[in-house]
Amino acid sequence: MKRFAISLCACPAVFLALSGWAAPAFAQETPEEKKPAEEPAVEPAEDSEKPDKSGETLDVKDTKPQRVETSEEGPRRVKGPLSWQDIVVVPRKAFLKNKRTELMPFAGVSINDLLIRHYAFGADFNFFLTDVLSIGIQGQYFLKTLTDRETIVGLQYNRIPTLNRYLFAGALNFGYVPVYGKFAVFNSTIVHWEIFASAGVGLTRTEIIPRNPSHEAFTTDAITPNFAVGGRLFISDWLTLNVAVRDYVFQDKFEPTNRLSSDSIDVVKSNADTQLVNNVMLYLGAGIYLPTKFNYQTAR
Amino acid sequence: MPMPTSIPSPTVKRFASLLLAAVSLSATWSGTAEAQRKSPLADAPAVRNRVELRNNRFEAGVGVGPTLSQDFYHAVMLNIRAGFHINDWIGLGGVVGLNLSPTFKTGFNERLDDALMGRGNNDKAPEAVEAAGSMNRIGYLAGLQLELTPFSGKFSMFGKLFMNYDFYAFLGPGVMNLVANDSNVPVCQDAADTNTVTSCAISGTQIGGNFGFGAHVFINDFVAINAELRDILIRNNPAGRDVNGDKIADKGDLTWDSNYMFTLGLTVYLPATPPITP
Repeated sequence: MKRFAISLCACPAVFLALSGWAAPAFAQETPEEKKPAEEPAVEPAEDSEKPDKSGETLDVKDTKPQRVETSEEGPRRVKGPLSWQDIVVVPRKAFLKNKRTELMPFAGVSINDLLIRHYAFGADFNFFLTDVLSIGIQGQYFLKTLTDRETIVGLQYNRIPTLNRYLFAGALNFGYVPVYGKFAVFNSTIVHWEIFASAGVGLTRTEIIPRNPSHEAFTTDAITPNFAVGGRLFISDWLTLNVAVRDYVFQDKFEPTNRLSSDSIDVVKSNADTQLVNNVMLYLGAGIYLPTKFNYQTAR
Repeated sequence: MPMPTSIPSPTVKRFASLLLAAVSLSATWSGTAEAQRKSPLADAPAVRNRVELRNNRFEAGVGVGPTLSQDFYHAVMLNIRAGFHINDWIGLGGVVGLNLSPTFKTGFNERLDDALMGRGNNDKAPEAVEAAGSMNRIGYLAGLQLELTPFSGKFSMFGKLFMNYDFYAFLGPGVMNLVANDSNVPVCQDAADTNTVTSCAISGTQIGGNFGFGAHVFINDFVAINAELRDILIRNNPAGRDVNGDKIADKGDLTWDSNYMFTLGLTVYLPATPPITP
């Protein structure tokens, strides 16, 4: 009997919790429908040198709004339904990154080469030391396609271009966020965003595309400084949409124009033409932040 | 002594049924009440006392910027634009641009020139002079455009400098004037009937599309920095040589060609004082 009674009382409690009946009311009363607070108003402390208008210690972690009521004793804060008086003039940043980790898978495409286009697939792994400073590593794999211009060079000029393909690359990067902003979409929705700058150094492996397909190819590993400018659009507490333009600068080695079929690959590589290359890539990615939640450390 | 099995009495059963019914009712009632409670901000705009920096204002600006991914000749364009904004998010405008660098070769053009300089006697490749003669470059451009500004807001730089900005996209007809390097090269025919025509020139005004997107960063209420990426899409054959493999150069070798350009400039809005929403 006792066991049955206990389980009987537990079931409604679980049901109540699940139905949200115990959750705080987020809907607000209109000024016309405002009712006196059911909870007693908190009286200010009498002996305090600094009048405590709230009547209680401010808990910085308490983000629940508190209604201000005017009375003979002065303005008092009373807990109750949300009203227009609880709207702050300057809202806090919608997204905090301090001490959080960002995992950003991305896809990219080269945008500054007329003859060959590279598509990149990879991921960034960044740790935010502060809300604006980050350090991270990047890895990516490349796939190449030849452009229409490359295809018709032989037709129009009886010449074969000397091209290299990129295989993969990795880098250690540092990031900084100088710009933070928000915009309204048709004055109905507010979206937060930021612009970041990044720089770092890494390694790129390239391979020549022999003009004669029967010739052997060689690879080159090049130290690659890079720098980037990009933006993040904050979708939720743990998800962002990222776009960036990154320039990789390195010394690459190209197949010599006077290559003979009888030359060994070592001779070919030693006679290679060295050229400074700027590989400018456009990236689109999604940033996933861990932990997925964050806490504000200052009062609202 | 074994524990007796607990069997609820009829009274307890009745009490339990009533309790469950009351709980269900209260959960339903609270949900309904919560749905009926309406935020005073429910129908309010996202921003109050919003400065409408474009609404019912004229816009005029000048900018400079290079073309991107051109085949043979870069162009540094001087663009002048003007327009009128019907409201804060729709406007009509136009642009004209002039190429300030008609002889600015691309890296590809220079390497091709070097490769053709070493042409042998029995080489099927054209001579460098012949190859360069049929190439064309941008002379000037013009376009009309409908502008849509869905995004506008504010940003802070280094937490100190605060500025308004907007982001817009545009679409409309465009024209581009092309100039051949050598005016003595014959203009491409609709269909050449002989395979001795290995090169011809595409020159004159080509009609196509004009579209892109940009952003304004407002220094104050009536002056803004304008950055824009534009594409003038026209039919062109920049090399003036065979493209479709029939070994004849004519208008059958024309293909849709994108001409991307980036412009950075300054824009002024009139009247100088923008309206403000309630």
